[in-house]
Amino acid sequence: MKGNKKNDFTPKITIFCCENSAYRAADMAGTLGLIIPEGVKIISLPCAGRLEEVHVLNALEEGADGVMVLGCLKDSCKFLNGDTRTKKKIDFLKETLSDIGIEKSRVDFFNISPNMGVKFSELVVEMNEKLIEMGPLLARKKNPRGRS
Amino acid sequence: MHSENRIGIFLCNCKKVLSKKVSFKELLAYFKDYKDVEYIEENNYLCNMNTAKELEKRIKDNKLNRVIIAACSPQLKGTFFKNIISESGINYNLISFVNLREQCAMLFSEEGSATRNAINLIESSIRRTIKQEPIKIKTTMIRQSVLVIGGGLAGLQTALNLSKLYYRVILVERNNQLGGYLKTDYFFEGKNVNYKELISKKIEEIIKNNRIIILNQAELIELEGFVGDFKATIKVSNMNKKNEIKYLNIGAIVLSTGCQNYLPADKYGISLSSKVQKLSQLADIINKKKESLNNINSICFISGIISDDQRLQGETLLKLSLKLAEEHKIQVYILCKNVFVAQDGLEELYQNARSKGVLFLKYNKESPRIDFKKDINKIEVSLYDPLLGVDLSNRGKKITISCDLLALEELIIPSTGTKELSEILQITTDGDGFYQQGNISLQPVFTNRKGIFTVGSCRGLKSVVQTVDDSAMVSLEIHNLLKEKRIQYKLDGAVVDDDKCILCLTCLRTCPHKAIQLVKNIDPNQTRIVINGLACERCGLCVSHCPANAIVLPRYKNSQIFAEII
Repeated sequence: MKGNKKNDFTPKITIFCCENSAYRAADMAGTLGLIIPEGVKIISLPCAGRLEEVHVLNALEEGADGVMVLGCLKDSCKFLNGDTRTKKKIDFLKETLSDIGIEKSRVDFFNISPNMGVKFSELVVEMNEKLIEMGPLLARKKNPRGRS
Repeated sequence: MHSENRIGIFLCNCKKVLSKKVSFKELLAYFKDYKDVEYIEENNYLCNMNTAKELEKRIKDNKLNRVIIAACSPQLKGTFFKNIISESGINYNLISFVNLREQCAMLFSEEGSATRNAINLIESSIRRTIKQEPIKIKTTMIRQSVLVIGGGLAGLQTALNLSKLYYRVILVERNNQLGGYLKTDYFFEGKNVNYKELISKKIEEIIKNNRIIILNQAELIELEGFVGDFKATIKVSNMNKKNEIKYLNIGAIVLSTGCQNYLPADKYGISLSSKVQKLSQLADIINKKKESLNNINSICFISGIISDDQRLQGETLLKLSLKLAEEHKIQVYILCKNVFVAQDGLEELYQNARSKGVLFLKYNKESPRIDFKKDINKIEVSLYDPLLGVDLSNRGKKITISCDLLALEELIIPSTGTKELSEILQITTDGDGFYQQGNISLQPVFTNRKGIFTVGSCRGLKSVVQTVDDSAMVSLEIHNLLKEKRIQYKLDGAVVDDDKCILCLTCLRTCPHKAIQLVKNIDPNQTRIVINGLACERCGLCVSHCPANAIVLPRYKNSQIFAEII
């Protein structure tokens, strides 16, 4: 893959996963032998509803080029409305990000169920391609403590 | 106060499967002199019982106080490792997992990338585990009595089951007699059972049982407290119109309020008369006033206009038509979109009805047209049957039936008072007004509040067999909850910091399980928010919505998530 300038950049994606659905979907993707790009980091939460806006911003600040939030399918959240509440938060956050000049599509929310391993890898690969096109996120701390 | 961190990392190569992708040598070398890491080793097969037992020895020898297991997904073996390691005296919250197999070795392609990711994951796990604190276990008393609301079959059966498990049961019934829906004449005999005999036997059994207290003409008017210690206020109205208020302390609540029939006459476009009757009215006539059927030669049933899925109504309809055809020699027509036989015994009933001369006619989108012929004193119903041939307009063959009586199918709705009760209990209802069930396959009898269960038709129409099964399930769930008088639970539920709390009540609104309570006090400074540790399901919704950052979820603190993000 060397030689092509665009491909030298491996985007870092932080994925916040609901323990009850997306985390299991990621497990399933692994079991199925699906391959996802390198710079992915999965963080599990008890419910997508636990996510705060500041977590996403912190991830972007500390080195991630894109953030994905994965919650349960609509109407099947174990805690009734965790996914819808989080979607609202992310929609709000996207507007705020675009106000300060960061592309909206760096942050996204998706609904996924525990048996959607294939969908999981598809979503991640899609996000990776999108980020490669956009290039690295420049607006961040001078010395991020983040992943090397 | 903070003692030195002594972290032990146990890697598992899953019988050398993971060694192909992850270089364990590199991992061992990288973390050998890592800050705070005291001990690191590679295992072949960590979840083997013998190897797992050796973990305990390693932990004691190296005086470790935090452990990281880098093996398969914590969803698979998490509890197994937690139980084994907790025996060696390490608090379960100080044990962390790195998903080395599913989400690292198997998910990343090249050898280098998997190893880099493994290092990253273990590093962040070390950062996170340092921020974690031990979690204590609390013991509380659980009350050994159950309140059952509704004295229909579901309520009676649940009360009997629970009394056999040695629980005290308080059965609250709104009317002055038990039996509910099954006592009406709407139901017909089952295959081998007479429903009326069944219900009167159960009532007898209940009245004899001294573990069950029956409160007739009583209603729940207020509920406080949480699972294990509900405080219910019940209003009992007596014959001499004196209301009596009773206060009960109970451990769990079962709702068996059932459903009722309702005829949306506007959807049919006709009004009820002696010639047009509801299905339940017709059943009444067959059971009580048989002589009025003497001058009737043909009856037409219309089904499927108001709702597409009326499986159990279908059962009544088939039984009714069979009875009319067999005993009264009446020609029966059933007009329907589809015949639902997806239930035990229905297919046989359908075949039986056909062989006895009941005619089934299908219509599609266009509902049957109903005309009243006053001169010949008959009702004419016309429809387009797509199975008997197609005419030019592609609607099916036009068929006209003239009959003496028209019977309309009814809609099943929740019984009156369901909405009020759901407001008192703070539980959610679905689009049709029935109580919302939990996960449809995993937790069908649960509601959004812990300790409140639903049984029978209050979550949608159920047959007698289904109801009896359902009440067995509820009884087991309640037994699971109440079997020990003293219950132990981990204090990892959400906690409110009183100094930061500004009493905005956002959490009260947000909590899907209604586990949060406003404890009022005369002194406004003493008024505070309390989260019940037993009822809290640890989802963290209140934490993320708190504008003052006053709520903390001990296993998912902000500092821990930030440590993992980097």
